[in-house]
Amino acid sequence: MMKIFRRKKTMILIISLAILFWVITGMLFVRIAAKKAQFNATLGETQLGLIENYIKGEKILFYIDQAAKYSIYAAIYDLSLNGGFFDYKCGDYKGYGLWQSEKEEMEYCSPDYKNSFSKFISTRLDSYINEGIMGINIPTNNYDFVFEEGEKTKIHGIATTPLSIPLLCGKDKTECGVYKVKPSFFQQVDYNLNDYEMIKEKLIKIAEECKKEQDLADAENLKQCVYSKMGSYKGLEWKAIPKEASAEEDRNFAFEAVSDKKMPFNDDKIVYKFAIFVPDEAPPPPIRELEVSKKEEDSIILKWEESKALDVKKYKIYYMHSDNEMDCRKIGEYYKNTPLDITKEEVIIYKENIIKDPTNPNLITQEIAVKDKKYCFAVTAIDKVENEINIEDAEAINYP
Amino acid sequence: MNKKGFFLDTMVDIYGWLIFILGLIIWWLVFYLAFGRGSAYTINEKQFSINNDGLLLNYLSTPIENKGYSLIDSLILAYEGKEDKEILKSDVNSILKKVYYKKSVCWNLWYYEGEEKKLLANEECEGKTNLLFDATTIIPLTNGNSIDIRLTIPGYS
Repeated sequence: MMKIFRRKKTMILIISLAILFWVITGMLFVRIAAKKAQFNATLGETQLGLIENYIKGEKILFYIDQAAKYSIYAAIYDLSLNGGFFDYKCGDYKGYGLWQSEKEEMEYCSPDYKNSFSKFISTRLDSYINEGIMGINIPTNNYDFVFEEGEKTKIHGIATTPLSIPLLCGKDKTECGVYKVKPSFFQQVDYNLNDYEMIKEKLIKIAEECKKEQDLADAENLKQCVYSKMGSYKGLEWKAIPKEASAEEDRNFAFEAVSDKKMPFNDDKIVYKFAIFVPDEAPPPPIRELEVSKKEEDSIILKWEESKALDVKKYKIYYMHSDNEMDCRKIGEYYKNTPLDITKEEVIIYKENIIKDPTNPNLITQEIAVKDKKYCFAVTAIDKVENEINIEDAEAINYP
Repeated sequence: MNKKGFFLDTMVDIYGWLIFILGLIIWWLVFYLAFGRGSAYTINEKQFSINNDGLLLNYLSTPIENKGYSLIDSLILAYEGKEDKEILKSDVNSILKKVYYKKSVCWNLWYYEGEEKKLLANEECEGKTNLLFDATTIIPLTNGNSIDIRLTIPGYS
């Protein structure tokens, strides 16, 4: 026996083996004890918890489905009252979103109504779910929308982030899993998004048919043109919002188009509110009754009645002179192809610089230097977008 | 003996084998104590019930015959005062009659305002009752709010 312990290597080996053995045995004990501790739940309890979680999930999905339905109904009204806009692209006119402005055309300004509709639905739906449901956090701004258009619009709300409902297990109800489900939805509403296309069609027609009209001080031709287009059009009853008379021409018009349709749970009809700027292609009317009188040997006074157009920016005096007789009725022809013996000139007078006749404030006067020649004079009014009648249509007079 | 390897000479061999066998015996004892010594396990019985909330959702989603809307719409209209509660009562009865094989049942439809429970509509019971159904859920309202509702069916009427 002593020999064993005298051999150092042997001793080390035996002791090491013994220690290793007890360490392994100890670890085994611990592992067995740990495994036993896990099996303290009742058989089936976790599975039943999963079923309860599933039912909870179904309740939340049902809630979201209903909330989506009400959100869509409300969004239809939100969209129509905002003229198809979520944010006004080209500004507004008296609170009505502009589908065409003075600076931008309809292709740019008209609303992306589907995108706006998505945003309104999302905003309304978030108000239902932003505080969670049944203690579960619901992701907000969580949907991509797909629309199928027709007499009835189909709306697919595709959730991007799933709901997470924790699964609680054991006596301590600790989280042992998560039940995830995507809260997508599908709704069908008795409403046609195509109404916005009809509105655009009608607005294009109004702009096209009334662009050559203008309001004058004594005749509201533009207003009359626009108002004459009101009435029933493809299921919508159109009316223009009345405008007050103004000293300056206002080519913006606001409209309301009323649909017969109402959404469930709402007593109001759907009313579309929007505005448009009617393009100005109307030149101020011709200047008539031009008068010329001698002032001095080398100057004359030209007089004409101030234009009744509300948007006149300036006046242009066309005049030609020659040693020979001229037929002033051909002033337009002379301007295009000026004969060698005729000299043509122009004077521009801005509205803010005009001189009124002291005896008659409706008359504008302008002194022009002249020589001992034959003259033809014509005056046109030019508006702020440079509309002007053709020189051939202007009334010309001769002097002397 | 001068062999290399396991044990080194006869005496060492004997003691080595002794320790080894002792270790095996102890190992076996450990396992025997842990598993084999006639352990007794108790089977406990526990009752769980799956609630009827899922079924309530089905009832609420059911379309009402010839009316073009579902029960939940009728409930919302009655709650918001846009429809007579008698219409809601008739709609609930039409669905429950089909569920309970044309037998009439009495029921109570409650809603909760905070902690307070209020009756929205009901079909009154006569005589003894035996609770057939009890479920709750949460539903959204058209104004952005929500309420908890509870449908109980105390028994046949």
